Amino acid sequence: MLKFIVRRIISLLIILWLVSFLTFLLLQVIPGDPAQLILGIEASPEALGSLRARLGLDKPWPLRYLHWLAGMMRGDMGISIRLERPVSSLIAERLPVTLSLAVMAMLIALIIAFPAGILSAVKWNSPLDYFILFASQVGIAIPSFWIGILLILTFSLYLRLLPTGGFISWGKNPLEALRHLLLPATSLGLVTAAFLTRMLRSSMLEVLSQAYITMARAKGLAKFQVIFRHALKNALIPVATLAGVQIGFLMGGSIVIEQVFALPGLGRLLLSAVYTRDIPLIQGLVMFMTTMVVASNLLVDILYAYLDPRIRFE
Amino acid sequence: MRSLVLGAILLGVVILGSASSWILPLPDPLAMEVTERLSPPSWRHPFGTDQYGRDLLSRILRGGTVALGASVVSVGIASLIGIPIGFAAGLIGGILDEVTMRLMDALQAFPSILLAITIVAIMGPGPLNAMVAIGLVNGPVFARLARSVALSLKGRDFVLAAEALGASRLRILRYHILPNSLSYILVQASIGASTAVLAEASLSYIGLGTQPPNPSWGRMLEEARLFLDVAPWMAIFPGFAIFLTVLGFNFLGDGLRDLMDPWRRGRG
Repeated sequence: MLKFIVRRIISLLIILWLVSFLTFLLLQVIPGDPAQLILGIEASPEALGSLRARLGLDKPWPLRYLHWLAGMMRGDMGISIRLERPVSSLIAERLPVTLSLAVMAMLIALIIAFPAGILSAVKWNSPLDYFILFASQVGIAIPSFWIGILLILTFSLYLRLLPTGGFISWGKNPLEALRHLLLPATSLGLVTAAFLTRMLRSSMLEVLSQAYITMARAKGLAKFQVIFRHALKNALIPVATLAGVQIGFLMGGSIVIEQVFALPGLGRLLLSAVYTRDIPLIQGLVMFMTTMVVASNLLVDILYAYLDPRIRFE
Repeated sequence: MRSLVLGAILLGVVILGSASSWILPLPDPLAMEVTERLSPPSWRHPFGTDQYGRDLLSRILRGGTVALGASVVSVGIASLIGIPIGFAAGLIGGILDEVTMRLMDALQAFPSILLAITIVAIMGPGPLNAMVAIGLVNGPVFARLARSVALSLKGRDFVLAAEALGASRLRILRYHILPNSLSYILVQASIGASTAVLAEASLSYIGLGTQPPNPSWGRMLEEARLFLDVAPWMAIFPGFAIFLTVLGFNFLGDGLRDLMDPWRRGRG
């Protein structure tokens, strides 16, 4: 197991290094001079020159890359050009919102997908199964931000039950924080729920046709026991991998959903950085969000290997 | 078969709809009629009008061109970049395979919409740039597919026989590998088209794709968000259009996959 973890961590580090290189290189191609962008077109050449030196823009890009990478390792992600504050503290401020959104969305997805996936596999080929299949087909095809708008229309504007957007921190008022996150997390979670339901259904069907399930039934075990103790455990393995992939989807989807619900998270910060061409902030955010996704995929992989010994000894 | 037919019908409707916006004498999707602003669905404006009094039916039909364009352009770019890379990696192997696949790993480590946003940030917002960005992001998917098909075909008897007869690598690629991978590529193209429609709508929603006043379904939803309490119809129809198009491509992809793989037929 330890050998497996070490091997995975090494490949994760290689991927992160490539990711950092790509992120840096991509954003070097942006036309325009950041110093000019900050000072405006009427700045004197001397002022431009000294700002360039201060930002390190007078050095060749490989040196700047190494400097940036070294900073990242120390947790120093540079300074936002527009907001004139360290990127790391901007991220730390916004992270709780995005993280709560993603975690809640995943919880909602699991709460829906588990009963739906199991039921539709157990009641295979029944009207209920068809209904669940149909609903999941719909869930995959609906854009999450449209679900968000429809939810606002129903629950905020007609029923007046929940706020249309914005956020109140957990520390201030946990109940209000929950109320503000419920709609955005549902819009994001429903799509993931649809993917997970389909996966759980097909992997349950696969497992239920195995000989050891017939054996368990033949020896007279209760149906409940067969489904939950024998089948579900094995059916969960592919579902866990898909859930790992979905973390990346939730992270990306939160960018758009935060915009719909005016949530002050990482996604909104990223968009404002893109609109104002704040390169250090874009670089820091892209790197940070990708690292989070890659790291959580690693955790899922380790969990996966723990659940299924065949993988460890491959 | 059912999903293939269903997908074809849905996409047929979308294609006819966006074609009709150029052929039929509908109201100009860009023409503003201030006196008619924010009017609910009626005989004159079946889907209602927006905050400038533009006819929403015309705008949705015209927006179909953008969505279909996004799927064609981005799938085209993704396959033109991905497939040669995948075939080269699979057939040549060795260091080339190792390096390109690690690069694909890194590209796929980014959440896809995040990478697309970054690319649009570099190239500047706009409909064509958004489509190119989506295509670039989806390139690795096609590369992986082409590589795995090439790897599995490489050892098959008919390829070995061609090799034994002295066929060159290029000839094998052209006459044996490519024709036998087309069906897989077609399925992936259809799935890629469905993700492209969603991605284009997302990018336009956050203001990085199609720019006003041109209609795009994502952009229209963003405008609708501002007038949700007074003009809810603005938010219903564009979302429905995205949904039907994505559903169409998904059904088409499922149907094509079932068609090729009889073992999967009849199973969800």
